[in-house]
Amino acid sequence: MRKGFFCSKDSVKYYPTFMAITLGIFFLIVFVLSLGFGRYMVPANQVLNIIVGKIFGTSITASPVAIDVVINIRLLRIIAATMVGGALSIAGTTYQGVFRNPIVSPDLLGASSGAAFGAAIALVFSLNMFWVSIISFFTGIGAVFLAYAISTIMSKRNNNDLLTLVLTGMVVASLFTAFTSLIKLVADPDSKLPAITYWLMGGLSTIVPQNLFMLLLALLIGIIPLFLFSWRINLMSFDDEEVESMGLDVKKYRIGFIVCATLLTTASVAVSGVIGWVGLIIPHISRMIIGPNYKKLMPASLLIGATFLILVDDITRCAFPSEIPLGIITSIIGAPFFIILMLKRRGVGSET
Amino acid sequence: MKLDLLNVSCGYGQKNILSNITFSIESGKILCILGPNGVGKSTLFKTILGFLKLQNGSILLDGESILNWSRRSMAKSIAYVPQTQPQPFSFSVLEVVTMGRAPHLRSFESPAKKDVEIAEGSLDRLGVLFLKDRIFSELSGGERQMVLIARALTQQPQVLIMDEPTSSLDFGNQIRVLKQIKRLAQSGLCIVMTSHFPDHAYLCSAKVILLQKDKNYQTGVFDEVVTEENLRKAYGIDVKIIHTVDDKGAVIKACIPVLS
Repeated sequence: MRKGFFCSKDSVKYYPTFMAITLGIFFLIVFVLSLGFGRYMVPANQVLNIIVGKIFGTSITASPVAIDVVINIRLLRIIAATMVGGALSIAGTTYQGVFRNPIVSPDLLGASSGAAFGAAIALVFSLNMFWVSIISFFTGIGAVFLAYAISTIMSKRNNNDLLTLVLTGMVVASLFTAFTSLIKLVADPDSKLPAITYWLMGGLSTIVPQNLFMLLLALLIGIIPLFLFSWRINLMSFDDEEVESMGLDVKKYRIGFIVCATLLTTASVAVSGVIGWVGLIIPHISRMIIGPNYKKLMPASLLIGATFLILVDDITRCAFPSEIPLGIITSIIGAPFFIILMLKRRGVGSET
Repeated sequence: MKLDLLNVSCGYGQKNILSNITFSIESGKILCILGPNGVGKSTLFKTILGFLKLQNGSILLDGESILNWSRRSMAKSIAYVPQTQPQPFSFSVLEVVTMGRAPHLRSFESPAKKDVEIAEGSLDRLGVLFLKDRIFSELSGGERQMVLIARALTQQPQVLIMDEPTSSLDFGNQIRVLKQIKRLAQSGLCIVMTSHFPDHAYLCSAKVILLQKDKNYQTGVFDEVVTEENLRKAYGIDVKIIHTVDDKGAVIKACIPVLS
C-alpha cells in the first residue's frame, strides 16, 4: 500500500512526529465525542464543560442528566475501551515481534482460551463480575504458563524453541476450549449458559470500577517494561543466534516480553471477554502508518488500538436497538479488513 | 589482537563432532574454514561465538579465556555475519545496521544520533551507504550480505565470524564480497569465515583450516594445506591445482575439479 504512495520505488518514508501528533489529537477527539455519543446525545461543548468542571472544579452549565450520562454511565466504559484496545494492540504488536510473524495474535499461547475457561467456571458458580474477572485472569495466565512449561520440557530434546512454543500454545488453547465447552454443556441452559455465551462474545457493558483498577494495574505492569525495552524488540525479529551475537540473551528477553504481553492480554480478556482481531489488525495498521521500528510502533499501536475500540464500542452501543457484543463487531470489521490489508500489502515485507 | 583456540573439542550436547582443534589468528588476518558438508565447520564457529558449549580446551582472546564472558562483552569483541534469513518486517537498511549498536547500549536505551552515525559509517566503509533508506527484506542477496557485514562492523568488534559469506551470491557478487573481506582484514580486523570454495581462501590470502571427515584437520598457509592430495581426502574428488599469471605478472592459483 505504501509503495508508490508516499515513496519512490524501494524506500519508504514515514512521518513519525507528524503521525504521532495526528494520532494523539484524533484519539482525544474520538474520546470526547464518544462521551457525548449515544442514545442520549450530549453536544461536544457540554462534554468538555463537564470534564473541565469535574477536573478543575469550575462551574458546570450542562444539565444534571447530561452529567449523569457522561460521568456515571459512559466515562467508565470509554476508559475501559481505551485500556482494553490499547492493551490488546500492544500485546499483539509484541507477540508479532517475538514470534517473528506479522499474522500472530496475542492469544497465540492460549491466553484467551484459558481466561474464557476461568470465566465460564466463575459464571457457573454465579460469582459476581469482579470475581469472574479475577478467576479468568488467573486461568488465562495459567494456560500460557502451561504452554510455556511444556514447550521448555520439549525443546530440551529438539532445538526449535519458537516453533515448539507455538505448537504447545495451540494444543493448550484447544484443550481449554474443550473444557469451556464441557462447562457450557453442564451449565443451566436457562440462566448460566446464556451468561457464559454472552461473556465469550466480549463486551464492556458489565464493567465495574474495581475491575478497571485491576486492569489499570496490570496494564502499567505490562506496558512500562515493553516501552522501556521497545527498541530491543526490533532485534527479536532476527534468528536466535543472530540476536545472541548482538549481545542479547534471547531466551530471557523472549520470556520477559511474553510475560508482559500475556499480562496485558489476559487482564483485558478478563475484564471484557474475548475480543478478537484487535491484537492482529491494529499492529498491521500501525506498521503501515509509522513503520516497523518498535520504538515508534508501540506508542502508535496504543493510540490506534484505543481509538479503534472506542469507535467499535460506539457502534455496539448505538447502531442497533439492543446492544451487540463487542467481539462480534470487531470480527465483522476485522476479518474483511484483514483480507484487504493482505491483498494491498502483497509484495511489501516478507518474501524470499 | 590474537584469537587462540587450544585443544578445542566441540559438538552438540554430549555428542562430540570435532576434537583437539588448535589454531591461532591475529588481527589483519583471515582464517578460512574448509571441509565437506557435515564435517563441523558451523559447529566450530558456533563454539567460538559461544552458541555451543565448549566441550574441552580453551578459547582465548589476547590470552584471556572468553568462556565466562557475558553475551554483551562477547558481542563487543566478536561479531557474527550470518547467512541471510527471511525478515518478516520491512525495516530499513539503516535500522538494521543500527541494531549492531545493541551491545554498546544499556538495556532500555535506544540508539542516539551518535549510534546512527556509527551505523552510517559502517555502510560507508563498505561502499553501500546509498542503500541506507532501502527496505532490508527487499534487497538482493549480495546487498543483504553487505548490510549484515555493516551491522557486524557497527558492533565495533575485533573479530568477525562469517558463515559462508559468498553462498547464494552470483559470480560477480562473490568476488565483490571477498574483496571487501580482504579490505576489512587489512584494516585490522581478524576474520574467521567458512567456505565451500578453496579458491576463495586463496583469493583472500587466507590461512586455512581444512577439516577432514575422520576428525583430522590440516591448518596453515594456503599452499601447505590446499594440496591436491588433501582436497581429494577431504572431498573425495580429484582436483588439479593450476597456476596462471595475471596481467601484472603475479601468480594466481585455482583449484579445478577433474571429472572422469
